[in-house]
Amino acid sequence: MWAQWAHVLASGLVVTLELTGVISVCTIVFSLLLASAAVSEIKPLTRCCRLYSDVVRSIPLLPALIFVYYGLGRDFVQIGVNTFWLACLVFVLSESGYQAEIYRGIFRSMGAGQWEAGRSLGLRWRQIVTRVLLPSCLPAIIPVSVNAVVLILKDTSLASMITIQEVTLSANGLVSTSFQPLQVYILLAGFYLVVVLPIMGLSQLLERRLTRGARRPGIMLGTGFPGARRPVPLDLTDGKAAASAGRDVAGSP
Amino acid sequence: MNGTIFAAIMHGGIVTLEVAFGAWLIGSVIGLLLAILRQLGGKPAAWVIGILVAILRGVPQLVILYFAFFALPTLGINLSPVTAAIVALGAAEASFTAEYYRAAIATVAREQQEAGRSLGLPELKIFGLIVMPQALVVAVPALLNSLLGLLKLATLASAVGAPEILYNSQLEMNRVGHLLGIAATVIAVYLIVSLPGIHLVRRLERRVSRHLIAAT
Repeated sequence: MWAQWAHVLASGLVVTLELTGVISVCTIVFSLLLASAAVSEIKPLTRCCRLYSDVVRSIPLLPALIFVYYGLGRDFVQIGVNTFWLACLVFVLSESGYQAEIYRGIFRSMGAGQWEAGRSLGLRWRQIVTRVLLPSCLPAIIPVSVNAVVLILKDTSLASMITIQEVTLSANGLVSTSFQPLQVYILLAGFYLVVVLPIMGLSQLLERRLTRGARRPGIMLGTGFPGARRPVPLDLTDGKAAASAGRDVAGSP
Repeated sequence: MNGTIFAAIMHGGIVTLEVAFGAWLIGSVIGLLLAILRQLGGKPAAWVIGILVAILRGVPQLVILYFAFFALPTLGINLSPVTAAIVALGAAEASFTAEYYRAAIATVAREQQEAGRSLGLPELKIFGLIVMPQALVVAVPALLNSLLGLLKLATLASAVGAPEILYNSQLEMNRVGHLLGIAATVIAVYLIVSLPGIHLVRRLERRVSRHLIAAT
């Protein structure tokens, strides 16, 4: 019985991991683009990026998924795009709002003055981003990106609500056939923990390794722990406060 | 006709508020207890709390909610959809708020505890009268942010049939259609509540970091 359940959940977990992989990669790339636009000197562009983040963070993920699925699901299937990709689209648009704010905070705290410096050397926007900003902020970007993968993985359970056969929906199927919700959901929680806990550990390890010796980006109240979504940054570098690592908040899905 | 659809959505909104505020209260109080126990309870307590927090943080809120609503009745604990949502979301939130409190407690200078000890105050009094009042102020923006997050997370309660805003909108959509209008209404409601909330949290954060800068 347990072996059979584990088999069913494992096939669901594959879909969960596929979703997580696609969404994570797209979210990280899109958020880095948004964040680098948000710290550029072009005011309208900066405004647009911040407005995007604020609006997206105000809209809950589950209604967004359900409304888009009800409204466009059938049309998308008819043009040959299945629900999986529709879900990916909604997830990426939503998660990027949170992630872009986190990256923007890092860029602002560690990259202060780098725009001016790059400009005075005659570098273009793309050159400043790829040659100056990204390399210098990489030690801070990597751990928070790994952390984002955990949050995205947890959020993909919402995809079960729009009929994507990921691990939570597989478990619901098992519950409706076996009538043993207690055992099935404990097994399901175990499946999530087996994947999530190592990634959380990795995120913590990377943060310790990468920020060792370097100037710490500051105490971010509520971000220095695995699974944290909502940075409440408080910079107390060397006992005295410096530029805050991203003054803004990100909510939850 | 349209009035009734709107009324149904708004009634759902009230249930959403109930779920969010209930979960927020549970999350804030249990989170505080976890933070205090971790600080004062010694090694075994810290160990147990660590495992509990890791589980609550590693498992999706939706799965915790399913567990509370579908699995707990087999243990003889029957919860209504709204109660199950409050308990599940509150428990998950506690694992996060515990960390906000811990970080806030860490901002209170060590010297203050030592000063309290040198005055001969008992540990509990040092914690309750010296450390906590200062730490709570620092934790305010994070707690408010957690409420904003829960207002959005409360929509998960529709998955177990709690008549909150998303559940009612889906019912109305199935009944009369008007998908676009209903979706726009729900999103508008969230924008009206969340956008000022985000700005308020941002302002409070600035004040708190200024306060901390002044303190150091």
